[in-house]
Amino acid sequence: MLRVENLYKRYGNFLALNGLQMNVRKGELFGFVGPNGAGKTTTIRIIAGLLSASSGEVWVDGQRVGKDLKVLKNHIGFVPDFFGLYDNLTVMEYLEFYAAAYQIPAREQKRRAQEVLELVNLPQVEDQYVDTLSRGMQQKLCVARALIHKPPLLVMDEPASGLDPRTRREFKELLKQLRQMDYTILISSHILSELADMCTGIGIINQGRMVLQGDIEEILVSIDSSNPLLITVYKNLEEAVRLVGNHPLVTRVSIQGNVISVLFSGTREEEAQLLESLIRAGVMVTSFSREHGSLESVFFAMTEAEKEGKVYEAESGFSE
Amino acid sequence: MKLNPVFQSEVRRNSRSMRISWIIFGGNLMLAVIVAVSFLGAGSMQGYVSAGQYQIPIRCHMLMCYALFFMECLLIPGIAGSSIAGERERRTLDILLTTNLNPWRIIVGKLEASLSLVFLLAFSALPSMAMVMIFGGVGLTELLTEVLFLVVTGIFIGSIGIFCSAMCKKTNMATILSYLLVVALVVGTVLALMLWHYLLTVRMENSGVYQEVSLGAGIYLLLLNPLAPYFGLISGQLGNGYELQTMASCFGDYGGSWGVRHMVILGILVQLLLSALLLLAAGKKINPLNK
Repeated sequence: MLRVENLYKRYGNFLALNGLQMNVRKGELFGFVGPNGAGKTTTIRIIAGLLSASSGEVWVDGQRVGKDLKVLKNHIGFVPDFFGLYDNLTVMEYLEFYAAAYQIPAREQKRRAQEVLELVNLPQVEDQYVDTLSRGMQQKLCVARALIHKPPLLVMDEPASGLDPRTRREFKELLKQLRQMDYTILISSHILSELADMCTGIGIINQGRMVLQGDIEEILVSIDSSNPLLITVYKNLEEAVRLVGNHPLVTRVSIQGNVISVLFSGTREEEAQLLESLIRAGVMVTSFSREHGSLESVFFAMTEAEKEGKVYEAESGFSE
Repeated sequence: MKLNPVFQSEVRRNSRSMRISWIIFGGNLMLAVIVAVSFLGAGSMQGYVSAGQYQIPIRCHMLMCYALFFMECLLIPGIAGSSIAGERERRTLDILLTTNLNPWRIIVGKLEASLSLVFLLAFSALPSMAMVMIFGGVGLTELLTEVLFLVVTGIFIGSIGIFCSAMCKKTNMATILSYLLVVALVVGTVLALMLWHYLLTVRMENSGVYQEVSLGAGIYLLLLNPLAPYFGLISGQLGNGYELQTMASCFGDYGGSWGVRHMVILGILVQLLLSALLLLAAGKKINPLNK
């Protein structure tokens, strides 16, 4: 549905995008993440036709986007990180205005507006002024506005920023529902836990380049196998530490309370043998498992954000 | 007829704002005061106003024409100056640019919306303006020509406002710049000519030569001033028709000048040309492909 090839964007001496490659398949809910200044918004603005690239190509639904943005505009619904609403307009008038802007015939505008309002679960607000709606409703209205011309691809730039947890959850459900209706969605966000919950694909951008891209399930499984083993010991901790420390496949051991974290490079069978040897040595083990991979850990590994002193918080994203 | 969606939406939003009602009320009140002062003032001096005293309604009409012109200069930069910058501040410009509306249509829609208020004001002022027709001296053709000229001036001032609005990120800055440019054109051009003439006169006196100073082609700086051709038009209709040449003669001998004699039409053409250039520049500025 969306293919980005060798995208470069230069602002003076600063290279914002450095040969970015991205591929979003039809029907995919694609999470686009990266630290601040990595080039997410620049990429999204180029895809939405709000910025021209220094070089590179953008393909939407098999058609190359050139100087004529008509193809792009008809195929993309853009939801920015702000609401962009007009005061003194009712919900229906707001949607009819954008329907007219997309050259939808006047006789179809009202019907189309009603359709998208139902689609985003915003019925019975047609006659309300847009500035009287709650933030959650305003965000849904923005999505409705982006869907007014039936675009197959929705491009969202941090759409959930500034929403409370309940509204974010509703918004997430809306996106899942849209995906089930065969919409392709590209969403950039800082809230990694939410992306992991709903996205089917993920792309991590750092310093203008895509450092990781693929199916989210596959990525999480692949990083699981390289995560440390977590062994919770009930009794005989010293013996357990001695045993794992002397094991040839163990490269690092750290202890936190009664939990031993072990960097173990063996297979599943060798993991089982290690557990067996612990039990034989009289160590009482209450749990033995690999640490689960998270999108967060992938993100940190890929972007080395920790080195830059940034802290990630599940609710509010990154802070210095 | 297919209306520009930007214009349609702006008009709808403006019609719900109290500001518009106050502007219409204030504008008409001012015109009514002009009428009242002209007629009642003359009546109180002489005890009556007769149909034979046609100079009173004509003077009254002239005053109303200039009042409408200055209302344009006062209102349009404020409205047009905030048009694009306002969209940018509300962050709706980006969303508009992702629709099928091209920058040019957005700009034209904004101009139409800025002018619509002035048209509304001019239309609501027609009864007051037409009062003069009861007494004679001004016919329907003259009235329509004045309205047409006000439309051209409105387009010119609106284009200046929209150009400033496209260039500035902040509404306040765009509005201030629009007013400054309008003042520079309406007052600044005349002051510049006066200063230029004064400096030439002083230089000539210092060199001991005593002859009439002429600014030559410099007089055409007045073509940038929307008031100059309007003044020419009104004086042509209601005065002796030579007021513009009389004014030009302050800056040199332009008695036989074709340009000065046709300054009204030349002024209209220059204003339309500049409007087109300003709107094109504004459209280019907001076009995302130029970023």
